[in-house]
Amino acid sequence: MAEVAVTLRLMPESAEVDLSMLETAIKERIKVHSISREPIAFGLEALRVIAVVEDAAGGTEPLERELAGLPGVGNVQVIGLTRLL
Amino acid sequence: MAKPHLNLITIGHVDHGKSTLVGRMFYEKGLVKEEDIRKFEAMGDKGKTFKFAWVMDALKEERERGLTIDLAHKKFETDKYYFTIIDAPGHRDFVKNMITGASQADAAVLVVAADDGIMPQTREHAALAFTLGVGQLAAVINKMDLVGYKEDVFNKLKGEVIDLLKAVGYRNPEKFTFVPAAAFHGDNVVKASDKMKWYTGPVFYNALDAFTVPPKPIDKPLRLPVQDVYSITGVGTVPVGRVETGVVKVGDTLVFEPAGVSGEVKSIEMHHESIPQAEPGDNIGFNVRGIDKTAIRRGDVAGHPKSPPTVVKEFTARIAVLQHPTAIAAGYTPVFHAYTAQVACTISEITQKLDPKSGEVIQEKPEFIKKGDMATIKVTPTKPMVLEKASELPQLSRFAVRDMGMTIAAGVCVDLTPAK
Repeated sequence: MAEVAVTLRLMPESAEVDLSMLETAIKERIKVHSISREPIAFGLEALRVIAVVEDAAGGTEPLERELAGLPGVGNVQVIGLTRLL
Repeated sequence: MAKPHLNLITIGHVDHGKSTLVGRMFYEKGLVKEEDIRKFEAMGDKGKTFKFAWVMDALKEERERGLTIDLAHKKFETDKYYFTIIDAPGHRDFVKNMITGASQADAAVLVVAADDGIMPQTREHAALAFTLGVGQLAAVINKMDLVGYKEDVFNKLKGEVIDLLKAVGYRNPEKFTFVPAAAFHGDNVVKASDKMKWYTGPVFYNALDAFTVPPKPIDKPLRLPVQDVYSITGVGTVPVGRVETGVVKVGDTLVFEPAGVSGEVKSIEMHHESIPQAEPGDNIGFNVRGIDKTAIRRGDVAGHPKSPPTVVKEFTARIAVLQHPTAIAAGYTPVFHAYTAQVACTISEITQKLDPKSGEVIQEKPEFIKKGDMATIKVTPTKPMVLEKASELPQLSRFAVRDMGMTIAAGVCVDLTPAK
């Protein structure tokens, strides 16, 4: 079966979280396609992470749990999902 | 003027040719890179035979090298619109994400292979599209080459698909466009097929331009589910979330349910820019006066006091059971995921079992339901929760049901008893 590109929005616990360190931590823990910054409001920025998972593996819960468990992460939301070819 | 943008969800059984249909269209519209085509042409006659498959492989290879993945090959333009394709994954567990967070689809393309007909996944995806509130759909009866391009095969299957769409909740699905196609050979994808002269409707590519841009639900009551809440130095309490319906303006008083607290909107920001008001689809952070950060949390919903979010005591839902190792009976308490909320809810009664082929009631008060069944159930949340009726605010009526690490069902709230 094919792969699925998952776009996740990671909200930091607070506006003071060092997003560069968080980015590094994410790259160490999971295989990502890309990470970008998304300005939200009042100086608060989210990380937009695109990761690729196997369709057959089913679901994004392990990925969400892994990311949510990182220090500094407030919450994780899947905002986009598409099967690749 | 810039073309309007539409999110297009492609649904159907994984082997029925969704990718081939889209790939073929990209290829014929010249959206595949020139250098890829040149490489193929250097292959000579042998290459010609495999032209199309080769292009698909090239795209796959490119993706595997990690160069572009989703973006480049998921966007295209027609005469009227700028499309982004969301290809629905095959695995049922992704249904939760499609329901709670993934970007809203504006139109759907349902692909059914003529030789295979309607498969369980066809039914599930059709139900998912309806649950997601995708009101317009085009159906492609693909692989017509495998049934001799016969009109009667197409008409029979078209009738079955219409029945299926009615069963999952669509009204008047006979008004949707049904295109007989053989995507692999390019019949009726971009160019009209000379093998199906009996078909006089639009080819797939032109059917896309028949879609319309759904109006934003700005005239509905405000519903703004909270994704997270921050306390920002020098600003104060800042809830963050996406406006689902209605409009929120600076100066408005908002009530958060089920927290039951209210406060005044002092300022709204989107992408770090101050804005006077926010509309459906806007991801915003807003500063509210009079509410402490700890008083509200993820899963609360903001609305205006004159039409506040509905806290439900009990609700009636229509669900489709996607997967379950055994059976679901009254008393079962899995977790319901709706917008940003996650609440354990008890299924207090299984009211009716419905025929997934017709939507008709086949059993009153069944003792249990299992995988593949559709049913009407009564549900009692174990703690206060906001939910709305599908007929009034569909954006806050849909949910996914999870247990044991699986998405076991998807559904919508069709009726409710408010808590107050």
